[in-house]
Amino acid sequence: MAANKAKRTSAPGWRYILLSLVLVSLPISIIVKVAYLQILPNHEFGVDFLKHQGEIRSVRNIEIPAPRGAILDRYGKPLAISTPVIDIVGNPQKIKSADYRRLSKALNISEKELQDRLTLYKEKSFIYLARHLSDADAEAILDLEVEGLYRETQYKRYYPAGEVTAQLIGITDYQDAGQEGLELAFNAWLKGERGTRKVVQDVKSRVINNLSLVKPSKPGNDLELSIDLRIQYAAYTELKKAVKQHKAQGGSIVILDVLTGEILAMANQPSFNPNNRESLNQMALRNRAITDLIEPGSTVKPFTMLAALESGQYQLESLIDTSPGYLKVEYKTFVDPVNYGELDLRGVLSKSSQVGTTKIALNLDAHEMRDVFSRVGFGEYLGSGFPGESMGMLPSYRDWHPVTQATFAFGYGLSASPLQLARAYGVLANNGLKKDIKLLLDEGETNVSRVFSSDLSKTVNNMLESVVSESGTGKNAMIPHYRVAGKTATLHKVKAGGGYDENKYVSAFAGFSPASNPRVVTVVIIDEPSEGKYFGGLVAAPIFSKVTERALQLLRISPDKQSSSWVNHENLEEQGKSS
Amino acid sequence: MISKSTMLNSKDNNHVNIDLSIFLPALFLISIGIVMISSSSLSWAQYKFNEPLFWIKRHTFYVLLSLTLMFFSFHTPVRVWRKYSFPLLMFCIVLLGIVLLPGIGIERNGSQRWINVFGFTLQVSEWIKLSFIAFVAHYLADNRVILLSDPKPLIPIFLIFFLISFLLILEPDFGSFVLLGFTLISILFISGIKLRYFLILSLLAIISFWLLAESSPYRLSRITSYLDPWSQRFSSGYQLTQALIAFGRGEWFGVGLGQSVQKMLYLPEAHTDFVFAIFAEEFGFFGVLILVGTYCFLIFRILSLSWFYLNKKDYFSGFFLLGVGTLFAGQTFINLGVNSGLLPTKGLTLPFLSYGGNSLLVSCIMLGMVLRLASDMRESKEVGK
Repeated sequence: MAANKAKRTSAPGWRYILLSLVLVSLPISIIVKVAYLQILPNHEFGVDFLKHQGEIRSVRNIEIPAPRGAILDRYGKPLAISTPVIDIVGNPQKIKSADYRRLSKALNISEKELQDRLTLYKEKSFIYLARHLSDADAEAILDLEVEGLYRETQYKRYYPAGEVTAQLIGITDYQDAGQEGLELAFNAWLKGERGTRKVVQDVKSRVINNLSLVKPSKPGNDLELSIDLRIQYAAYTELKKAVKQHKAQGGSIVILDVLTGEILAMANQPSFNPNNRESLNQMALRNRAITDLIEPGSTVKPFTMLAALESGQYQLESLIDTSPGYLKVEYKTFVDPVNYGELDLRGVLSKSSQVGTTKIALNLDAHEMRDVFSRVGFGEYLGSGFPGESMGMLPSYRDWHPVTQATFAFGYGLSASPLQLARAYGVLANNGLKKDIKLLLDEGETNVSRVFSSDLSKTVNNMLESVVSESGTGKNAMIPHYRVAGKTATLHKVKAGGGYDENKYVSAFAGFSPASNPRVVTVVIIDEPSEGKYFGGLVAAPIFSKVTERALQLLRISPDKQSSSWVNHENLEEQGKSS
Repeated sequence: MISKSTMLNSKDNNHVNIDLSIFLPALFLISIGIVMISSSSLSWAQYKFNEPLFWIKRHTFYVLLSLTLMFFSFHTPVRVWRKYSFPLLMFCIVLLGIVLLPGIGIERNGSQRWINVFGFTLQVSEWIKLSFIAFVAHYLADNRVILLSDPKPLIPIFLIFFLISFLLILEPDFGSFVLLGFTLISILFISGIKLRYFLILSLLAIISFWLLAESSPYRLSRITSYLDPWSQRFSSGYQLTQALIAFGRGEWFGVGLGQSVQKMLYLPEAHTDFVFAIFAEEFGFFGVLILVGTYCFLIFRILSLSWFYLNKKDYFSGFFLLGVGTLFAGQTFINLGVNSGLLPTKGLTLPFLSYGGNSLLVSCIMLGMVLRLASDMRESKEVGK
């Protein structure tokens, strides 16, 4: 008993061994379990499954935004550029109502407004809360640490020239896609391609780690225009001033480079500020110079003269008797302001005599006359690629009524855009060569075709030059130091119900300079001047003069007219040198 | 160091003999703890307090304090612990009651476990582990001979255990309850009480465990969700599935220190109870083997020390070391088990590694005592020679 007791008082070894076995089983079970989680493949909830679950939660493909290409003028001056901005997006399901007050204050909207928006979109998980913020402004909001807010980098379009080029360049929509103007026409060229990268994100959707570049982003291509921003500014400024001065509905100016067919300026009124669209007027969006059609009126008379000369029935010296100042053709009477008596062709053109033009037209073959109009590009697609480009209308009849033929000769019954009119005058300026219109720089070979003999063109140009003289209707289009050839027009506007409105006019002037060796064609259209003056020679011609002069100066074209003051000045200089 | 120790231990001098086979593994674990807490708490601290170093600073402070307390407990003779074990336990039980008082106890994550003492949050359930083991060792050593034939002296132990359990479950701190029960049963088993008593006790323990689990839907849902966390991955199984993903990402050699994705707020509060999952993600299975191996070695050293004292018939020291060894083993196992989905989720820290000042302090004080006993053993061996 004593021995037994003594034996039992020593530590019972087998119990210690048993306990040790129990304890050893603990780490073994842990190791086995962890092995299943970390290294043993093909287990239902094993390593592959866990890695996949982890990636589902943390690995994301996120978009890399790509900037849209810039639109530049011919000298690389920016007309539309993209700058990075931050959008604050929110998940309405995650934003807590306790944060509404703080958040609304930071967003600068009322708490109620925020609440209404979040309630309205509570089924959605993505809404824009603030757009186009600077980095600093966006960070100020994100620093609130409100649950459910994220940032997105976007590109905002900015138009440095603002309203000056507004209709030409157009605008983009809220998703940075072209909506109007060249932004729309060349959207595919301009738009950047968003890339994708694979990243690891934390619970707050913040990027922890870049894994790989799935697809690199591609910035959009720049678009270089033939536009000369300096000339564009000059044209727009003068146009805006004139439209205001004459209380007109609107207007357009187109300026072409005669040598290349490039458009140097294309300005429109009314305009808008493309950088702030809150007060955007739909009417101001139209690029009237390309989209709007007018009946060109008297501006087509030089082409009627071309047809007359080409027919061989008339020479420059041919005399037309316009007395008694009116002419009845069938049911319609054509009237001159005064009885001009006998006029040669130059006189018919410079006085813009309706009677004289009608008499000539009625002697010509109507189809041949129409063919002349067609050859200078009326009724023909421009190919500018601009959205909403108008082809104009050049009707063709099997049998021409004399009245139709006569009105056609002075520009009614057909229609053209201001740009088409400019192209037609470009043919005259190029002495019978028709060149394609270009809006983009380096568009490749200019398509040139001869549509008239050089001699005939020169004759008509010579006539057009006398229109812009002290005795002609276009004397206000004269430019100091430069010779000008051109033609005025005063058109009745078409009434809504058909027929012409007796009190609503369009004033126009089309011409080119320097007349001896033309470099620029300018077309000025003023829609509904209502401050008393409405004649093309009084409203449009002065604008032509100012704008064309500025263009010639900017292009550094040598003067071709020796005005007395200029000669005197030079003489004085020479005297100064010699003395 | 030497002069200090001789001053403190005027009678038992020369106790500067530190057993490196115990101290170095523990120091290694504490170091890993600092690294892992730095790695896993940065994002969470930034998110919660806008101060990434919040927990790193605090943990560093606790490590320094713990090492200081380890130094003191190393220089405290074991008989002092024995002498004061009962008053210490009573004091802790009173505190455990105070924790439950509304307005005084601090509640976090649905458990009321802490009291604020001069800005320091005291987690009484950690401290009661130390005093309970010391008391049980002391009591069983005193009544060992009687217990071999008569189970009656067990009654006070069980009354105290039930009182502690009751208070722990009210908090609730189910994990500490299970851990204390496991430690108590282990000591009793080794103490040599008759097997039939032991089996009856074990049966009672298992029944009461199940009754507790069934009684609370909160505990039941935790227990069931761990069995199939993926079916409830957006609700009760969220934390566990995120921890499991961390393991899966780790594979053989881990994603590298600091490279964990799961700590980026996917796995909330990873630096406390789920630091092992982040460790497994960053160091892989290879790292897990080293870590588990270190714990095994440390616990093996403590238990073999216990074996030495039991054979030397120094029952208090033997039972106490046994209690500390099984406590570390149990707590480590439960924490690793919870992290890897082997066990239902419980708020138990990983000894030496997790953030949680109280756990680290208590573990280090215990380790100081273990080191003292190891030092005593060497001395007695030398004397024996």
